[in-house]
Amino acid sequence: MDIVAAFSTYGSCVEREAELREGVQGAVKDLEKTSYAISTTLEKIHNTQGIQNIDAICTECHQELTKVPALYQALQEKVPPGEFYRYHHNFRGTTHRLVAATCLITYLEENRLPMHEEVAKSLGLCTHRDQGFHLDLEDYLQGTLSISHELSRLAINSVTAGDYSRPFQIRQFLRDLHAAYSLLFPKNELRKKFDELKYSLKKTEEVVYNLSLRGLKPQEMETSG
Amino acid sequence: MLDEKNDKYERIYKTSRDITVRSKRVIFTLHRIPGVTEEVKESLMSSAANELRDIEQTLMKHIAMELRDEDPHQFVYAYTSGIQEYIEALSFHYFLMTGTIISHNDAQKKVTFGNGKEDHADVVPLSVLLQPKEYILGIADLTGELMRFCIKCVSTGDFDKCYKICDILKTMHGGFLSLGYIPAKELYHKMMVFKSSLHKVEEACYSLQLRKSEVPAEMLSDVFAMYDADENHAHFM
Repeated sequence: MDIVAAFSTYGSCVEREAELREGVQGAVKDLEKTSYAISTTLEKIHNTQGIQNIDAICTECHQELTKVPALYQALQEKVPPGEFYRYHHNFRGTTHRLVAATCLITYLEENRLPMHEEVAKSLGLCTHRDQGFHLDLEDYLQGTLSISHELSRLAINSVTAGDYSRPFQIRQFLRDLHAAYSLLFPKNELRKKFDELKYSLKKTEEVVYNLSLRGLKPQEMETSG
Repeated sequence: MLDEKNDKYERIYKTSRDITVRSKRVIFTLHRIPGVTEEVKESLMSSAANELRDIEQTLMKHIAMELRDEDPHQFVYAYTSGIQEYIEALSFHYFLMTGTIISHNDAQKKVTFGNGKEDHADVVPLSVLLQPKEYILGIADLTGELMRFCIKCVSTGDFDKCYKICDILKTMHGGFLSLGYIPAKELYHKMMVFKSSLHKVEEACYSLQLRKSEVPAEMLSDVFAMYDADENHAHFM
């Protein structure tokens, strides 16, 4: 009799958890949809017409981004307090994508990397675990590193579109990013992303080299490079 | 009963393989286009169109007959590879004609028979079910063909086409991104291949732009007489 009781408690636990998980996954799905919409919009910057209209694309992305805090709020309601990391893996990938999108937009608009607090705020999250639903530091770093690949692509595509000054800016930015990350001794997954950054930097440097070699370096940048 | 079903499956599978082979042939025909004269191009295009029509009228129709009064989902696996290859060839031809991608509806119409006046015998319209999945997989294959076509355009000096294809591929990449995560192994694999071919095309356009800038430097004197020279120069790249 006791044995049956033991199993039935476990059974009801499993059932409850499955229910919770379903709720979380539903909320994540909505978030995912928005994040894919933003990535799709951002993909336009690689088009020849897109490179000339970066501001318009950024504005479009901002509109989508304003929906995000409410979606995170909905997700927060599904996750029981104190079990953030239990469901973390369900929305990690999406968070990375959103962080990357936010960083890329800020870079394109203001030519700088947004801070951890800033990104968290724009996504409607806080930065510390004790404040509630937060943006994990590692997620932030992962997200920031993923923009390197997009930027090296943008460097190549802007040359195709005839914009020769952008690769120089991108190289400078990636260099700074690389220098900053070198201080961190990244490990595990971050390490992999960091290697990607190195590779992107190398590619961008090649672009810059090819442009300089052919005398295509823009005049006003002659001194800074 | 069981034997009948198996035989049918087998027959459809065989036809599907024929479709694959002939669609591949169409694609190869179309790949010969870069670098040939306008007349040869015309004849290549029309021979591809004829071959496509032939595939539709014989092989596809054959499958459609087999599928009459059956649940097509039962036999989808027998013809999926054939129809994907066919969509690839069809959309490639369509792209070269119009510069855009064929829609799912138009593709489905191509493999639906019996609405035409000449088919008096068929009262019920015959059709080969074209699932959205097969359609999108065929389109994913198309990206690979476009990449090859683009590279070939570079080597024969048709630069405009090259930039155009690059832009189309980027737009398609955006389109595939908007689908989000799809729990289909095949499509995931194809996406990876697509990403690398997109990369290749971007790289090609980039170096093309660089080379272009070299040319005026070498022969500044006749910049305006350049267009013909540019064509010739391209063969040495």
